[in-house]
Amino acid sequence: MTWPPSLPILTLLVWTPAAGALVSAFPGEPRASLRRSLSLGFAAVSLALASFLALTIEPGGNFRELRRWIPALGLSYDLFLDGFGSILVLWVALLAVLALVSVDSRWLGRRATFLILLTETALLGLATAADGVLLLVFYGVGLLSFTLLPGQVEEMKKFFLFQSAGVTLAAAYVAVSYYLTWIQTGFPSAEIARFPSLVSFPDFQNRMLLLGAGVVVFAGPLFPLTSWVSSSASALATPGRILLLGGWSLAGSLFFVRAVVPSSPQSAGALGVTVLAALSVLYAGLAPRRSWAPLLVGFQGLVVLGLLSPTVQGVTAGRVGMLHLALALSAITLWKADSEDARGPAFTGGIAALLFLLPFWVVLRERWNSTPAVAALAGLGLILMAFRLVRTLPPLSPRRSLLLWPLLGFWILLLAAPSRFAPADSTAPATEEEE
Amino acid sequence: MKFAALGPAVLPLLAAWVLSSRAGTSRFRRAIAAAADGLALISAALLWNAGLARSGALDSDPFSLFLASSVLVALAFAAVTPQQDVESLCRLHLGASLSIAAVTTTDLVWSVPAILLFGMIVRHGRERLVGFLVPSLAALAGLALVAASGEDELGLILLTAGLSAVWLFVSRDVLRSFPSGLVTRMAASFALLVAVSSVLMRIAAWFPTSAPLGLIHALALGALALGALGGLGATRITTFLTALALARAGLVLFAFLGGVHGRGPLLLELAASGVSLLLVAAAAENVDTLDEVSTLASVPRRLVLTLGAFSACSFPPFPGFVAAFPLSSAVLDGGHAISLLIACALLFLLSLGSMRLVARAWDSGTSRTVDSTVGAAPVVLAVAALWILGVAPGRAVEAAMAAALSIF
Repeated sequence: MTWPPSLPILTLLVWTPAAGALVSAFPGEPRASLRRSLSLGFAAVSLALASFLALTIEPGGNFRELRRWIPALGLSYDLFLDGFGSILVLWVALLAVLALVSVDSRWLGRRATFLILLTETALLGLATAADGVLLLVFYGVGLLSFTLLPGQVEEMKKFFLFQSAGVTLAAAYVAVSYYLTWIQTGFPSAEIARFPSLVSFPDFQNRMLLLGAGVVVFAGPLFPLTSWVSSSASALATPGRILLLGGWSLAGSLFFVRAVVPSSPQSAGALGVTVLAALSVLYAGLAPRRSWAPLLVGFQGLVVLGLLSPTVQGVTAGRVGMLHLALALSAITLWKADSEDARGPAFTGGIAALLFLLPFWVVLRERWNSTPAVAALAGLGLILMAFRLVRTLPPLSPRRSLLLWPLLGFWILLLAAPSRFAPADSTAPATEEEE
Repeated sequence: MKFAALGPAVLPLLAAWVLSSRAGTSRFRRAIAAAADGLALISAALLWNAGLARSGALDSDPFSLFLASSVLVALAFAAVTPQQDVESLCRLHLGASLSIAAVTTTDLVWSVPAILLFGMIVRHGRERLVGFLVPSLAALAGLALVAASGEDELGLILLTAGLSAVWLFVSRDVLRSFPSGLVTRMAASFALLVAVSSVLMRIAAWFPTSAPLGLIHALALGALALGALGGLGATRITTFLTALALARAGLVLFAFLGGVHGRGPLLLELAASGVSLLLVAAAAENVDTLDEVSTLASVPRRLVLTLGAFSACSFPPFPGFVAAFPLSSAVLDGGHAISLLIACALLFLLSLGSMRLVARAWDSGTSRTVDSTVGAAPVVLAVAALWILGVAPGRAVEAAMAAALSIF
């Protein structure tokens, strides 16, 4: 779709929050309400653009912006949005608005507002960048924004340690793909759509899958690299926590699903990653602590199980699962914001657990046909995880229930648009550059 | 045009003379020196546009001009940064003039002695003189062998090892004990690194079969490892800066493994090294330990520090990042996949070291008592570097590629 060709709508979508971050940095601490209004205004514009794109994109269609960035190195400013991407950007834009309205203006300082909006730009860029190097640029910006958000030295260092390991692996993956493109085509390019067509040996494909899976293992994270999750979540205020668990938790799997999975989904190394993912789900069910780490790791495990599934239905369920992960964790964050340790009625918690965990049943069903042992292991973890969720959800306050309505609406949207999550061949390499 | 070719090398000499004179206040002399450096930069730009010019032994090919411009930016930056000692600035200008002469001459008989003389000028006192003299003599012996018999392998090894060790010892001495601000010290270390790199690049280009690439390989990984581990363990700012400089030098040497295709990225990484090291030095001025960074109140100062620290490890999207892709392709093409993996791991460790500094700068749990800001020059350099080498690096990449193609 080229609507209207002269308007760089994807650029507007991605960079509007960054502009908002700069503008909302001007009002000083006494003018907190003005800052909040400004930041909300920019986030709302971004949400409106994302909604427009999600509503107008045709089945199988896409939006694309392709400009020269560093011609001598074959790198482009390439933004691309397909059906799956349109749902992702809608989610990110909605999440940023929710994060900004989740607390009073006096709790939202200049630094937090700036970093939240900058993170939104990074996440939107991650969802739309079609050039590997550009994707890494957004990845780096998002990582630094999140690192600086907690403001406590030890938490910042711990978060950075794991996440930068993920970025380093992602950079290595893109660098090798960039080299292979150079060798194969004779000119350099980091266009993600070219990665699946790179000729490589099975051995090499295996190593590349493991390299790419390393990004999810560190950044996702998967079991056992979980030590940063709870400390980072605890160090953040509610808006930052919503963005971390509902937005940044997608970064690693986004890289995986966009750059790695289309290239080598069924290599032998996939089995090792699958087992690790199943263990992550089991850990989520068995972990004794009431913390965020088991929940996040469990959901990530289910997503990875789906993404590495041998069937299209399984992969689709994995892609849907990514958004369910984000939806579930941000909803639970809002739910728990007022009373972290209280325990509410099991009935409400049970419904919530059903809502969030039911879609993953498809993942397990598809997985059962290829690797029943892994599916059984993960299934056991899923059941235990559901019980755990029911036990730990506190009573819901009226204000929080109001904020949960948009999330419920988004959940219904997910159910209504399953076709957008199916992997498609709509990301063919560009044949000509648009100036 | 013939005399213009002398400009980049001679104008810093003029600046050194102004700085050493007694006329006017020290601020006035620094301003004149900065103007002379600026003029030298303009002359370099004019020469770039005019094409090849030659005056005596000095060339103005794109390769020489690219490196000379990098040194001149560092010089001008040191001159306009407050709190730099005038005498040390004078020494720096004298030395940098020699550095520019070393990068613009195509004759090793001139460039190697110029580098050694630079080292002697910027070193302070007679302490650890042996550490400077031994590698200098090795380099001179290597030069004599190469001059006598042309493509002499032992001579090239001695020359490479000697010059690398000279940079290491002089940088360590300058960064730890030079009686001046951190920016002047770092500019001296960087100017010397540029001069040494230019000689090594010419050696690699002139003697493709007998250049000691194995030695450079070992030196690169060794320097990168020492720098990365030093950054993780350092508690004093000068130690931290020495570690960063060592790691960046290692990265520059690592680019030699990319052969002909690695030369353009090497020049980009060299420019990014200068920017990152100077910015960290400017932001960490008057700070003794890493823990003291958490007392800095000025937001621009902390932003400059952040940009410099992350550029030092080529972290996305900071300067030096985009050059990593053609560099890694060139290194893979040269068959050094394992070394590339090790370099990636070491850069990751370096980023953790940088994060130690940045986390302290943005720690919200401490009282910020140091209000002094960073001044306009570092902010301007930071914004310019972010734009030219990070956000829109197309022109810089083309310039580096053009420079890399013109090594004579």
